[in-house]
Amino acid sequence: MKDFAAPPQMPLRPPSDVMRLARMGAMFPTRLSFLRVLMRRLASEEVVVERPVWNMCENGFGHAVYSLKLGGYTYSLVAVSTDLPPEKRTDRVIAEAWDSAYVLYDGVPGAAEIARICASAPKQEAGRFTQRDLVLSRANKSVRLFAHVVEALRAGTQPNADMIRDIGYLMRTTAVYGNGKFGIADRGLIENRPALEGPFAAEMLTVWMIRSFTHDLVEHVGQGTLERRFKRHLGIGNSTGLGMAPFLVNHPVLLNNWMIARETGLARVRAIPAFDADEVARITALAKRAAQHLEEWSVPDPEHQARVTRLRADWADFTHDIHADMALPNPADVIHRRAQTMSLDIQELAAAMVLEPFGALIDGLAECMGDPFGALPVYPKDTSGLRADINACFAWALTPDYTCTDESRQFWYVSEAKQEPRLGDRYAEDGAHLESPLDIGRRIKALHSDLPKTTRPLAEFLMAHPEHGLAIERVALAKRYPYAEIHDNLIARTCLPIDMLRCKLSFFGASKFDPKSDRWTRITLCQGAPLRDELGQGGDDWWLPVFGA
Amino acid sequence: MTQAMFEGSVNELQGLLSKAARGAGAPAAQAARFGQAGVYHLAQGGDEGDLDAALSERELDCILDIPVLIQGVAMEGEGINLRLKPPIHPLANAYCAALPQAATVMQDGSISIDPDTLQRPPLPARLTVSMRSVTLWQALGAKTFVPETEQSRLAGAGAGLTDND
Repeated sequence: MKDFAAPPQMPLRPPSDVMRLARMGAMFPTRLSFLRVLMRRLASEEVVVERPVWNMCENGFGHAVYSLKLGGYTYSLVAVSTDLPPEKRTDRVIAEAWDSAYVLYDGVPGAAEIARICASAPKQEAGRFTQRDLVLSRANKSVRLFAHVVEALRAGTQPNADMIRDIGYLMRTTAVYGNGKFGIADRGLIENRPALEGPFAAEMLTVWMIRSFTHDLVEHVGQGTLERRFKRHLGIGNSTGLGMAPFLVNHPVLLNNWMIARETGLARVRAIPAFDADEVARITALAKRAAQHLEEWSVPDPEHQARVTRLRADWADFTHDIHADMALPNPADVIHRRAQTMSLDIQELAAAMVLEPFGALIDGLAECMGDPFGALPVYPKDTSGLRADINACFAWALTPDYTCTDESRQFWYVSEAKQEPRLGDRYAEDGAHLESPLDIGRRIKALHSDLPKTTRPLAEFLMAHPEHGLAIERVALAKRYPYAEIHDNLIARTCLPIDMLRCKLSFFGASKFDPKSDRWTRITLCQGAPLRDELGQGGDDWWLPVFGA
Repeated sequence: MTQAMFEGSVNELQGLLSKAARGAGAPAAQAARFGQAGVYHLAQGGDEGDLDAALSERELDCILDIPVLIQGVAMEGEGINLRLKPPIHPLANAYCAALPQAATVMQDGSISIDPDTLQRPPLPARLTVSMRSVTLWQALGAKTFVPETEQSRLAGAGAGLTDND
């Protein structure tokens, strides 16, 4: 067995810096984002996507099947398009009907299986599925853009380029379910398959195939061909709400592994002694592309638009001197350090940018982003050790006074209405006694308060205080998984779930964040990604996509 | 008369059991462990009635005590001799199977955990249980859901009710 020396690296940014909500809410996609990892795999295998079934009426209602071979297995997307009355179109979990529904199927479905999926997929949560169904999803149309593109194609012209650029998708998914939900296959059944080992790989494959379907559907209904540059820019939208936030808290090992991979990538790139001419040219081009991407990123919400506008100006200032940075030793570190004098948005954008040219150095880290073993806590032997661990790793949890109303204002819960995750005001709404256990900081502080003054075996303390089991485990995870916890009070009045959503979505590869509130956002996935007939052409250069590229 | 059966994925049954345990009154960590142990119990051919019984008020102690005891064993505390009380609870082996490390329940009620051997028995693609049990677990799980109000419907998720853009 060969030993491989790890590449040189700078110290990692500490968890106390990285794991803050404000910074997580400023993250951008990187080349380690799951969609990028998947697309590289699809390209490396030169995957061919076939469409064996296209059974659509002239108005675009019916079903279709797309199939591809990946990692030695065949997967098919079954897409079902239905006629949805406008009054039923909502992206919320509480919706009961959608414009389209999808199943990623294990293999190639026969007629009976297609019929089964066509009957069950539109029911979504109310349907039942089998272990051949790997992912379940649904999407609603961007009615305005879909109708406009159809109208233009039917008129023998191309759609308005500004609308394509500004909206950026024909449909947006409103849920992408995996891992056994409603009877679909458990992740355990596919987690060892080549190309699907990575986090959310099957879900990302589904999303990319849905994007292809939306292109085909609009061309079918419009009876024309959309220009390739338009299709390239038309990704797949997504509406995401609170359900995504608890995932990060309930999967601390995954969160740690995602973060540490990205941070290690950054630390390796910062240790590069010098850039060659190609690397200088690449960073220069990426900085320019990022500027154009920011110009094309416009959102209706005034507050968020103001943030984007500020970022545009700051990025222009920041990149003005980037050539000088690149002439110095450890140029990525110089860029990184100069970014620290600016906003979190600039810091995270710069971090994502400097990763981009160095795939050979960091792409392998994507293999470390899963969680094959499950959580392996490292327990201290006694209560003094636990107290020391809390003091060392959880100062952020001990600081807030949770008896103060502002520090405990919010509570996370699951509504009885379709089990939709929601956030309530503890002091104005009922239901706090049914709170979901996302109050990690408060639990750690309660544990800390109950620790005895004299040292006792930890097991003895646990027997006397079983209510602290969760908190003790989180403390015990911190040693092995230093990036497992969000270092903020998630029940404080000031907690903005949108920051958690952005963090997770950036790992998916999302861009064009378009917050509709502090707990709900639209995004775009796959914008700029290779189309299904472009996989043999490489196709890994679509970080922060821009229109017409 | 044939009993109605439910065939589900491991993850949905695990989630269902965890929610049921929370609904029955177990703290979050113990409820999560119960869900993990429950699917191993079923996968090992265990009686679903053991799970129903564990969720009852009379036996909820098992959900509270076994995972805490196993967590205690994993802590390797000195001077602490942790053992399951006889008779050994039918779910004890399943709790051990659900650990990432190799773990065994000994005849004397002690638990042996080998921290250096990572192994978890594979789980099947499907698990089948009676609809009677599923209905019980769903009813318990529903106790963790907050009843909907107009305010929560409109503001709790932070999104509107129509999306005709």
